[in-house]
Amino acid sequence: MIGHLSGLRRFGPKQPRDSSVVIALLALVGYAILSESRYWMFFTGMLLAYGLFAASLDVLVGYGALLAFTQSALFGIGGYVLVYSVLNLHVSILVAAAFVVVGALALSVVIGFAASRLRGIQLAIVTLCIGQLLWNLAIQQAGLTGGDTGRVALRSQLLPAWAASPRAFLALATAVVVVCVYSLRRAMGSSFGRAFSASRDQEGRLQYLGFSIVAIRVIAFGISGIVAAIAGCIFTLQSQFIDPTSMYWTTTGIALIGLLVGGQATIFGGLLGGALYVGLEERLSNVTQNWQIALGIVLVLVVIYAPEGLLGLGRVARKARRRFADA
Amino acid sequence: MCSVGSATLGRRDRMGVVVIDVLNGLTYAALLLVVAAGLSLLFGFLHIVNFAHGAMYMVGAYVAMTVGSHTHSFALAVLGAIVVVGLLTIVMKLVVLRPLGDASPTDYILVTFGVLLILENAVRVIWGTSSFTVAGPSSTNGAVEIGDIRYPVYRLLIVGIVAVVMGALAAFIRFSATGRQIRAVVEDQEMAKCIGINAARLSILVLVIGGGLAGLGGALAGPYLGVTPTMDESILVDSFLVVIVSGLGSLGATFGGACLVGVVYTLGNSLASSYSETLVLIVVIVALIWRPDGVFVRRGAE
Repeated sequence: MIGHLSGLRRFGPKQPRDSSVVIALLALVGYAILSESRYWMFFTGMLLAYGLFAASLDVLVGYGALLAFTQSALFGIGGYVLVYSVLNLHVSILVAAAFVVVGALALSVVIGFAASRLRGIQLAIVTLCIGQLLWNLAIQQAGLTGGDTGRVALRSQLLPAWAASPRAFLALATAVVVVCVYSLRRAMGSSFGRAFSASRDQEGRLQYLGFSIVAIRVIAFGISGIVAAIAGCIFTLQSQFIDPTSMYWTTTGIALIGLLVGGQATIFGGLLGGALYVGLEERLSNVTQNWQIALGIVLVLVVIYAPEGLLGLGRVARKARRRFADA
Repeated sequence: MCSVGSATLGRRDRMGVVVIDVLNGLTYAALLLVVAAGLSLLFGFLHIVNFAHGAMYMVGAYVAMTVGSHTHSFALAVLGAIVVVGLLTIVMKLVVLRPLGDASPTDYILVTFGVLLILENAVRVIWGTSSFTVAGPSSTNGAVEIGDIRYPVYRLLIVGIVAVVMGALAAFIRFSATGRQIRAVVEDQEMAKCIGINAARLSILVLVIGGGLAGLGGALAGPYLGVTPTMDESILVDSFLVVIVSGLGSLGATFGGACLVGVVYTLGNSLASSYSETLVLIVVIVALIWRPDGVFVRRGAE
């Protein structure tokens, strides 16, 4: 369906290995669990949710140069599907999780097809429209979603007793995030990932070799959409509340900033940037309500002066040190 | 998206309602046209999707409100908004866009998103987070009678001002020497540079025009829709819809797109008010899948 993937196996650049990000996050999780502080556990859970969300966006933006503002819609819908299936349909959490995955896959495949003819700016604007449409629907279908006021979703009602305590949930969420992040890394490092990156850089040549750009992009939308919905579930379970705000396009904008500051096309960069964003918000919003001015300035500076993000800076520094040692 | 209230009815007959819907549609379309024309101009000339455009419009509305409350002059308020926002775009060009050089369109989206965050929060720092209602010029407080219906004068004033400004802009781009140079750059930047057109200097002019249009839109929107700290996000999405439906980079097409979105929006508002936004979005998405380059662009035209 896609083309001869096996031919691509050994081509393309190696993915940078920056597992220090994961180690740092795991250390934070360990600290939060050991400290027994509810605040730190909540905070770490939020870091994980946004980090995973930004990493899912990295698949589309970093590897595919597809700026899809529908990502926040998937994030929100993941949470809504989970809450609705458990609280209204009374299914078990595992069945609900299956609903989330299948629903996110279906929706993102539809979006992927609708957007498959569009590139760059047009894609950004069309996905912005589709995202706004879904956000509108979420507000109007108050019976399903609780409308504007949102919906309380207590963890004790959603999860089995052994997983509902803050500590157990954080451990569970960490495991899910680690599995998702490594799956994304594997997927993007595989021959499929190479083909997808090639569709960003050399669309015409890839078609010439018999690959289907549409199929490659739709699969990438699917992968990224499932992970975004999972991140939305973690977010909802952590905050024990869901409202349409998380579906608004600015949520994607936030993840985009995180991704950019962290470093695109690394997956870890998304994880780092999303987590950094939540960390900054938590620290700075106590100091001033208008901390987003600082965020805007950071964004502008990073785009202009450090287009590879923080992980990129780390790589530059390492390379310089190696050169220094050789000389 | 913001709600466009329906005007007072003289006699509640079916015909009158339709006329008022169309007039409301035209008013909102006029506002959208001013804002979207700026977006479209920037895109055609600089290939930049300016996410900060809505924030510029909001700054225009707040500046007009402040100037208006001090001078009690609507004309000065509008002028102040245009000047301040025009200057802001020059600052944005020098501080943000010039260092970026020829980066990818995505980088420009991101960087203008950063400007959006800065402006949005700067407005909250300066003017606070509450919403304001602004009075229009006192001579337009009443309503005008058209046949059986009464319609607020201020809304007709918006349509009139926009018609004059857009007419002047179209004439400027169509007939003046500078306008010809702008069109040449839009058509083929390399070639235009080869025959000695200073695209860098023109780009400042285009940015100022685009920013001035955003400022004008904001100033006009104040007495019509109110001044709120989230007015930038709704207008940004709506004017993106206009620009994308009509096809990027052409003023005439933007006119068609603004009318389509404005009228569909207000008609939807009176038919099934809670679904009007959904209706507009569906129209736009269908239009785009039908003709990805824009509905109002001539087929085959680049």
